[in-house]
Amino acid sequence: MTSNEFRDMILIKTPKYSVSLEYLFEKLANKQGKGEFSQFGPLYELYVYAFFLGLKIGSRIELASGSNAKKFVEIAGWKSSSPLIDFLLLTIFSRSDEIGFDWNELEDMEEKDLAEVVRKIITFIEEYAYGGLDYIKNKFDNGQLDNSQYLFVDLISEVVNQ
Amino acid sequence: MANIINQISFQNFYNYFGSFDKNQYEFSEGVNIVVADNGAGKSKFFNGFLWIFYDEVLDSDTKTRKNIKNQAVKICSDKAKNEASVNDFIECNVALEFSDKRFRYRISKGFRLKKLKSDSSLTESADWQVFFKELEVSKRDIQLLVYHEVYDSDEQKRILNSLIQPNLREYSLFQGEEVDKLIDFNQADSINRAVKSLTDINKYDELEKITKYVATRAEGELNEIIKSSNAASLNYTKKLEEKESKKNSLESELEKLVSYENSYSLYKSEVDKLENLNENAEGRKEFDDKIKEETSKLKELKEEYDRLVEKLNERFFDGNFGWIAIGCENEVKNFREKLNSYREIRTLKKASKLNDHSNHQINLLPPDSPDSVTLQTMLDREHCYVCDREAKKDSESWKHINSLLNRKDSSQNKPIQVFNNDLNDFFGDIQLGAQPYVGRIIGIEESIIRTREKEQSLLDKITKVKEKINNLKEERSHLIIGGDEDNLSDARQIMAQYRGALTRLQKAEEDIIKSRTRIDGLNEGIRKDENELSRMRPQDTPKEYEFHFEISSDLRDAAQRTKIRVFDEMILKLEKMANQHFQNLIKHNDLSGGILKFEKNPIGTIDFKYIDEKGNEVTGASEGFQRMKVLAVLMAIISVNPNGYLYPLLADAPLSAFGKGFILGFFEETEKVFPQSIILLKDLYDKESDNKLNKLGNELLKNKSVSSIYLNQIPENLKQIEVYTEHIKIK
Repeated sequence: MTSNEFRDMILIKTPKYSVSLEYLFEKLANKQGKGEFSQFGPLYELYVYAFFLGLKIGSRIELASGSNAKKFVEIAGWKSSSPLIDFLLLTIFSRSDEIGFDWNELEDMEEKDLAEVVRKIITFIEEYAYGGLDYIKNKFDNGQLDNSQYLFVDLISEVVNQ
Repeated sequence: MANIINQISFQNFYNYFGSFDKNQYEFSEGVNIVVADNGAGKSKFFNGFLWIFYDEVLDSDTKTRKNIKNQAVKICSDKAKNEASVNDFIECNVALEFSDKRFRYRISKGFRLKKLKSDSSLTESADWQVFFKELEVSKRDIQLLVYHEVYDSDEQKRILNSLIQPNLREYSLFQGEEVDKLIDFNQADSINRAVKSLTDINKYDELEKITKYVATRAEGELNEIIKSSNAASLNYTKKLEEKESKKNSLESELEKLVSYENSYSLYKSEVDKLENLNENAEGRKEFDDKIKEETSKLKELKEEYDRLVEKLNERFFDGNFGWIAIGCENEVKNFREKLNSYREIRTLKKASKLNDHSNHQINLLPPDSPDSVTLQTMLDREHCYVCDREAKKDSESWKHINSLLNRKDSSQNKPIQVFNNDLNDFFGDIQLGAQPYVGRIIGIEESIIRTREKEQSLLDKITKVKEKINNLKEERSHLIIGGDEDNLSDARQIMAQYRGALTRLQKAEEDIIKSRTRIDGLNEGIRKDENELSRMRPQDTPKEYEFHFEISSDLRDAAQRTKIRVFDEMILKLEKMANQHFQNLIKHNDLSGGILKFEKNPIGTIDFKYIDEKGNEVTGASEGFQRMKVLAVLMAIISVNPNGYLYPLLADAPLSAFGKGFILGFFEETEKVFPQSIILLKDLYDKESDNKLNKLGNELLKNKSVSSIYLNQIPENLKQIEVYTEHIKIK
């Protein structure tokens, strides 16, 4: 398998999020106009943001198996013109130990083993994103989100500086 | 000789706590100044004058004048009220001494206040009982020492009025902005009223009236005597009737003229008012343009702000900001370490796999070795270009070249597959692609701060521009005079109204001219009739009647001509004096002022204009200039009076809108016009200076025009109920 083929294996995936968090996306990632809070444009922006937030607070939550999950567009469509996908991959592969694979071993794997690694990677994304979304959800539900344009900046800065 | 105020003293009057002798100010001819900072008793001092002249004081809370009767508790010193015991009486008085060439007078007004409760409020009228005193006036011969009480109330009033005549008080006593109202250049009548009050021009009106009355009576008596003698011829009687008829027409025409003149005055004020609005309409357009410009600036700033704020979250992902990478230093470090380790392991694995392959031929060449095309050329040409030697076919050299060309790892051979999945590029691409974020991680917090600063700076700019727009609108709203903006703001409407009023004014002017022509015609006819009648008079008409009539008619005509001549001369003189005063008043300013122009209008009163050297009307001069204009005209009116001005000028903060240049000019010029002035002001006060006077104050201290300078001060760190004013005479 070539580098490109492996990259495609990952980028073709569509990470999921729990439907129980759908209202968060409606409130905080709605391209269609101004709302009560500072907003992201596309849904996946909030998702990626939540993923990084989850990583920083170390909150990884397993998605319940079953149909209570919604899919995003495939990763390849996430801000494809920006360095986002590469930075996302950089972050993921920096955590390969946690996900459970070794870079060099990847080169010797069969395709089905690689697919398993890719599955783990997507789960890694989904679970940290859930962790981040859950953090936001709690604040949102408890009315602790500032009605400020700097909401997301403040939220992540606060976590980073802790 | 002019009246001079020699002294004023206060007793428990506002901050002037204590007896008269503690609050006594001596003044003399020339300029007298009382310098006081805010709250040190300037306006309260002036209230002393207001009490004496008007039985009023200016209420500092409402800025309106109020009758003294309702203000007694308020104007009595808080310190005195506080220190009084129950049933104690407090004296609150103001006393003023002035002199003319023969007598010195003392006028005093006051009341007594009785404290009714031990806890009497300092302001509650119900807690105090007030006993007003009668006006007290006494006088003494200037050569003697003892004052005698004046009991006759008419005499008391006459003495008080002689200090400053009631009709002149508005020109003699004023506070701050009241100066501007002394002569309102937008009110056609204002300047004429001032001229009538301050000059003796009215005497000529009176003279004209009297001589006309005498001439008419003389004529009547003459005609009576002729009729009664029955000696008059039929022709004489007929001529007399003709003349009477002409006189009736003249009376009716004169009435018409009065009505035309009234219309003219009315339309003139309308035109003046609209002219102002019309000029203001132009002025407003300037403001509108500025407001438009600022509004568009505001729009741009708001758009920039909205863009910044709305796109704030985009900065998380934008390659130029990469805020999403905040706090990911460890991930980047780990990735690098893993990449290095991966590459090391990989190289070793690769080398090991290649070594395992049973091929002893060289498969890796050192750098700068010839490529396969060169090797082929070398074989074809049987020459080694590396060592520049011949390499004949099948020689050792040729074989060596051949073995290099056909080595295992060369591109001409199939590569050995070292890895199942070659991911070297995969990781390399990630490192390269993520670089824009990675390179910015260290500066993200700074970038967020800068963004916040930019937002704040935009907000500040927006606030400033908004303020500017509000100020412009505020200034613009001052250009609306006498009308509400919504109805009159339409410049075209103002223009139309203005044109209409102008047409009406011109019509009134034409009516006046036509009427005057008819009057002249009738007068001429009457004069001819009179000549004829004098020839037709019967021989036995008593000469004294004829003589009386002729003399009185001549006098009447002379009075009429004199009145016109004096008035015309006065206008010329007024203009000359006003410009002289104006130039002197502004001589310490760098700016050159315009020219004050006085003109006689069709109804025989004065029109005033402020023009530049090219004759264009000047508008929009600064507040200081405007006030100097008023003062210059006022001084000119006083100066044209052959007797000058006989009363003191008493002014509280008349210079509040003035700069240093104006203030100096004012004092120098005031001395020339007013025999005495008492000016209360803070503009010379400087707390930090040794003698508490600023530079200008110290200049005036040396100035000969200034007779006396007092300094009022409130001792520091006193509670409100302990406040009292101290004064020292520094000149």
